[in-house]
Amino acid sequence: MAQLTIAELPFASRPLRELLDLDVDRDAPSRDYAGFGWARAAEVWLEAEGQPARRVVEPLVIALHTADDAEPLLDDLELEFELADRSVTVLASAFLARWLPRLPHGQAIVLAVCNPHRAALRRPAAATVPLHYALGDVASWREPGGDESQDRILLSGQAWCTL
Amino acid sequence: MIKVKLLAGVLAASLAGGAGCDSRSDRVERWATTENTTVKLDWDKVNEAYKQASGPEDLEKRINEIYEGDEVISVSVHDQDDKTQVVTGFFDKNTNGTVEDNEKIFTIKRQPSGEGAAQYQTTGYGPYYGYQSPLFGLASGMLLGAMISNVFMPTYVPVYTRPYITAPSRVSSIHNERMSYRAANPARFGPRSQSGRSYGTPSSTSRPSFRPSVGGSRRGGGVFGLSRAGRAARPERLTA
Repeated sequence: MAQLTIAELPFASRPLRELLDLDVDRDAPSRDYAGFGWARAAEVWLEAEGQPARRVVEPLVIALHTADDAEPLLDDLELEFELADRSVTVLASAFLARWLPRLPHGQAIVLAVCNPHRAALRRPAAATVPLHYALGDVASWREPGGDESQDRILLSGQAWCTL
Repeated sequence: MIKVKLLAGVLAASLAGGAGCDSRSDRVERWATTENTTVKLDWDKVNEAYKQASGPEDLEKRINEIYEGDEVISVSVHDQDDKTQVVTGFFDKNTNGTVEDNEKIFTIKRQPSGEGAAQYQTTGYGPYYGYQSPLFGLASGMLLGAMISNVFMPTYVPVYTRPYITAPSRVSSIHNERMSYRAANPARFGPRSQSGRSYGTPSSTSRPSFRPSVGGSRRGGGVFGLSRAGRAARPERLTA
């Protein structure tokens, strides 16, 4: 099997709805979703337990995954990428160091990724705008508006942190 | 291996505090948990401990008896001016005896609120981000520990203009004292689970799952976590 580097991961731009698995109509978020990638959004809303949703304008949304058997780390996440022929893991710090310089940051960066061990992430050196990440599970939601363009897209987590 | 690494991290370096959750967001009072140890911190008891402490070392003792995890909470007490005092609880993970932002877990700020009165407020940081206490009023004549009541004395002078900080050399003795305390309170501190998790915690496989109120026609998308527990082999980790 060919050796893969972090920079060679098929981490691509995708439409926001597809990236957040919102292009299928369902009552509750799917726990089977393994898609990853990035998208620019006009806005997303970050919703935390016990707090009103907070609007983030023109963010770069980065969708990633952690597995429930990921290594518990104090200040990092073990990301898992389900590829066509295998799965690989990468530490979030290493992944962001490689990929953030390549991506259009917008006015903010939002990490859509579960943080089951509530790791206190460090600000990536390559981040030039505020970076939001969550503690606990993260799920995507859609609140339909008058038409699709008016839908409100939300990411829920137990708490949201900003670096 | 995971367990070993986690325990090593916890015992040797202690728990990482948050690298700074967004201070601009609204805060609410609540119990907070840290999934690194999944240890709850009973804020009511922490607030009461400050109120009753006779001094920094007594506060250290009280706080560490309240905390149900493995780590020792170090304490910094700093008199910022004649009447304002800030107590910081932190995990001194690099054992250098200084408070660093990513080690902070709470602050208690006490400041004057009028003649013969003061108030204090506790704020959570890092894994305890999100907690902010109400403002607690203090007044002379209340039943208070010396650490606070001294401020109402006519002869009061701030003692900790040069901060008191738990010395790294004291951490092991605090830990041992707490072990004795726990041994004497078996009803509260039951045996450690097989998973190695801290006292009174849910299983290691449970994941916190905040489900927002689903009103109206809200539709679900995806969860950004994968269910892989129990697999025979873990994937290769890319490092380059």
